[in-house]
This record gives sequence, structure tokens and C-alpha cells, in this order.
Amino acid sequence: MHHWEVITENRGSVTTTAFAQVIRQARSHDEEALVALYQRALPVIYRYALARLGRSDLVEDVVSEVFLVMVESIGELRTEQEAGFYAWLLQIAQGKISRALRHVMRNERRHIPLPGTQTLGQYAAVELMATDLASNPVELHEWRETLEELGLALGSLSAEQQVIVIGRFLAGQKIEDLAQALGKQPGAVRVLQFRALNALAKHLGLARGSWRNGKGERA
Amino acid sequence: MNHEEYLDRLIERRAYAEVHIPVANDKVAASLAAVEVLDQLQEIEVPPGFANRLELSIRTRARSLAEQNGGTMSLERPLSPAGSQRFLKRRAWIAVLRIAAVLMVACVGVLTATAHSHPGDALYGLKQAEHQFTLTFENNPQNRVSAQIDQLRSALVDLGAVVDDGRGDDAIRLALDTVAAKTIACRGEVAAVPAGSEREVAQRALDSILTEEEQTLRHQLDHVDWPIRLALTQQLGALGDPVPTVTRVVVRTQFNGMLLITMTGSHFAPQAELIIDGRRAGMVSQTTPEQLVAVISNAALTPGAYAVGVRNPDGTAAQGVLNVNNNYHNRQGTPGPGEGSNNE
Repeated sequence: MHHWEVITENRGSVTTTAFAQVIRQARSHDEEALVALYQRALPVIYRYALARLGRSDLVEDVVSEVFLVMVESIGELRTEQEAGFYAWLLQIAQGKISRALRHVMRNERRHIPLPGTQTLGQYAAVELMATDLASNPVELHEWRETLEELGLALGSLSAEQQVIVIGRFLAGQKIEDLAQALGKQPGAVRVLQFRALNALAKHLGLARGSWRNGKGERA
Repeated sequence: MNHEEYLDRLIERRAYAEVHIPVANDKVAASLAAVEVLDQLQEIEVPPGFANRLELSIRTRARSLAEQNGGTMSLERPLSPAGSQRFLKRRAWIAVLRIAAVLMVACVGVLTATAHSHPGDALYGLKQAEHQFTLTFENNPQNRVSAQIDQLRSALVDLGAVVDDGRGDDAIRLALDTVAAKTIACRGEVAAVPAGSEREVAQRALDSILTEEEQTLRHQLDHVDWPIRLALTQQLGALGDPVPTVTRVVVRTQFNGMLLITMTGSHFAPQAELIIDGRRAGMVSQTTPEQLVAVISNAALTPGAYAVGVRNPDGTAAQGVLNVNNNYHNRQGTPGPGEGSNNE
């Protein structure tokens, strides 16, 4: 059991003091502290990158780059607060994702696929889902579509809105903490959250008339 | 209360109560629906093999940066009254404490280096001994299962590291042998847990680590040479995966002078390839799960012994040994070590 196990559990909350201490240790390139931060943030960054890119081959490259930048640049992180750490990491991820998307678009312009063929690894993301889903072709197909639509919808949000949505719903941060991390009032963050979720709902066809009760069902 | 606050309150309530909340406002309802879709992202699991590899890279980079930035600390000697008895005693104590500190730092250094050693490193034996030591003093069956599973996970990370580092076959074999031994040990420890809820928990943990092992082994298949590929396949077979085996190889001369190789075994996949002495050879004309037929040039097999094998598209492989003499008719091969038995 190492010293930072308290924060690596990921699902539970962590005290502000404990997190600040890990950040301080990580700034001096303490191996265990850096690994603790990595273990805590990996699922969030991985899921975000997968939603934006939709291809697990690209995702692994991008996520690796994000965390290696984290190790190199942790000294530049000014906050010692968890929400601030996520905001910083998500900004790094956004830059890497944009670059990867530009690269893919350039390549796609150069190599126009033949009709009926699909890009290798395009739907590799589905392999990462639970096996019960993988064994149900209908649900699997729906999940592929949802992930693709969600990726496009997230990409249409502003960088700040993405940080709020991901910080809130993937990293489990509170509005007040996100507000502090972004240097805004909680009310302003609530407004941004409301607009971001509405924009997502529109892109996903969940707005008025298309939504039925239940999980993610669409008419 | 405005819409934004109302939505946030509903999100909070939803997170705690996990119940569907009827909402009158369309925009708020749509936003909540979007939250439900975002929740689905939580179901995505990070591939353990990738997570382990990246953790290893992070550790390596962190160590490298720490070494670059690390400075030496200067210890200031406290001033004491020279010549006094007390001063001499204090100096003696300081010397003893310094030696103890140096020894402690050395021990910590060795232990740290041991913990990060890989198969083929001088300290790897010490790491194995340390693992054994941990188990020796653990009597609780549940804790023994946890310890064995941790050690299997560590062995998988080591295997990934030696393959990624491009170490030699000996180091990779040592890592793979450790994985195989730890797999058997894990299964044994779980079987030793008394039946009941604790056994169920242990079994779930075992299933999870064995899935991780399978993923790691399959990932390594693309990065190793032929002999290690065979060894990885054997371990996958030990996990219960359907992997190819070769039980018999027969060679016949055809009328056109070509040689017809018929390989019998199990789990041959469509588009499997014939491999001779570690290289792709001949042209496969027919494949069934139990038989592979290929033709090869007469000149390709001069008298001697050949390792004749099969490689499935998923990278798994098996081989047998074929002895070729001057008579080209009905030459038969025997399976290589660990690949089954020849029936003829």
C-alpha cells in the first residue's frame, strides 16, 4: 500500500488537503504522486477522448500524450484544487484532440476510401464496452451511433463548456469547485452548464418532441 | 428560482436519489436527458493493458525528471565545544547515525530498484524472493488470494515491459514463465478459499485478472518472434482460449513434382498460414478447424528436420517437427514439445 492510495480509488471523494498535498509532491516529480494523479484522471480523460475521437487507436495515442505532458508540465499547474487540475488536464486534452482530428482530416482528404469500405478501427471503441452489450448487435449499433453523435455534439461546445460538462459528469466535480477553477461565479457556471446541456440535447435529438422517458431512448 | 438553478438542483437530486424525476419544462427535461447520455460514457472501461503500459511510461519519465532535478542536500555539522568528552561522544553518535542513514538509504534504494526490476535484471531474483516472503507470512486465504493476484498483475506488467523494451527471448521467457506460475498459484489460492461469499469474491477477482492476462498476452503476440509467439499461444491455451495445436504432419509428392503438406490438429482458423522454420511458406489450399492442406515447392524441403507450423490470423500459432529423408513419399512429422502427441 503506498502513500497515495487514498486518492487513487477514483470513485470516492477526496479531501481538499489530501489532493493539494499530492499536487505539491507531484510538482517535485514524485513518482507515486504523479501515478496517483494519473490513476485518478485516466478514466475521465480516456472517456472524454474516446467520445470526441471515436477510435480507440487514436485515443491511446492522445491519452498517452496528455499524461506525458502532465508529468512534464505539472510544475506549471497553479491550482492545488481537484477541479482545477481536471480543467487544466482537459485543456491539454482538447489541444491534443484537435491536433489528432486535423491530422485525420488531412489523411482522409488524401486517401478517399472506396465505396462500401470503412476506416480501419473506426468502431474499435465498441470493443471497450461491457461484453453483454457486445453480444447484442442492436444495442451495439445504437451505442456506436450514440457515441458518434455525442462526440460531434461535444465538439460543437465551447472549450469552457466542455470543461464544465466533463468536469461535472465524468469527473464528478461540484459547480462551486468548477467555478473556482474557471475564475467565475457559480451562477455563471450554472448558466454555461444549462446552455451546454441544451446544445447537447439538440445535437442528440433529445429536445422537445423527440424525448421519451427512460435512458437515452429516442423516438 | 431560474431554469439554470432548477436544472442543477434536479441534477444533484438525480445523482443522490437515482430516480426519474418528472419535469414540466421542456428545456430542463432535454438537458436531463443529455445528462443520461453522458452517463453512458461511464460504462467505458480503460483497457488494462494500455493503462499498465502508460503507467510504466509515466513512472519512467517521472524517475528521469526527478533524477535531473534532484540535488544533493548539504548537512551542516552542528558546532560543539572542541576537545570536550561530550563533543567526542556526540561525534561518535553522529558517525553511527550517518552510517545507519547511508545503510538505510542503500536498503531503500535496493528495495526500490528491486521493485522496478524486470526479468533479466540482476535484482529480479530478489524481487521474486520478496514476493515469496510476502506470501510466507500471510495465513488468511482471502489475503493470500489478493497477494497472488497482485503478483500476477506485477508479472504481467513485467512481461509487457520486457517485450516493449525489446529484451532478448530469455528475458521474455522468464517473464512468461513467471506469469504462468503465478496463474497456477492464483487458481490454487482461490480453490483453497472456503466455499461461500468469500470464494465468490475471490473467483470474481481471479476472473478479472485472467481476462487482463488474456488481453496482455494477445497484445504481445504482434510484437514477438516465432518461438515466443508459440510460448504465448501455449499460455493462452492454458487460460482456456481456443488456440491451434498440431498433432500430425504428412508430406506427399504430387504428380507435378510439388509437395502436398497435410497438417492435422485443432482450432485452425480460416486464412491460417503455413509456417516452416518460423517463416511463411507454401500456399494453403484448404483449411478446416482440424486440417490444413498446403502445397510447397519440391525444392523447399531438402532432407533434414523442419519445424512445420501454423499461424492463425489472430496471431496464435503452433508447430510440429517434420523429418525429411531421401524418400519423399509419406513423410510424417511429430509434434514439437508441448504441442500434443503424434497418433501415427
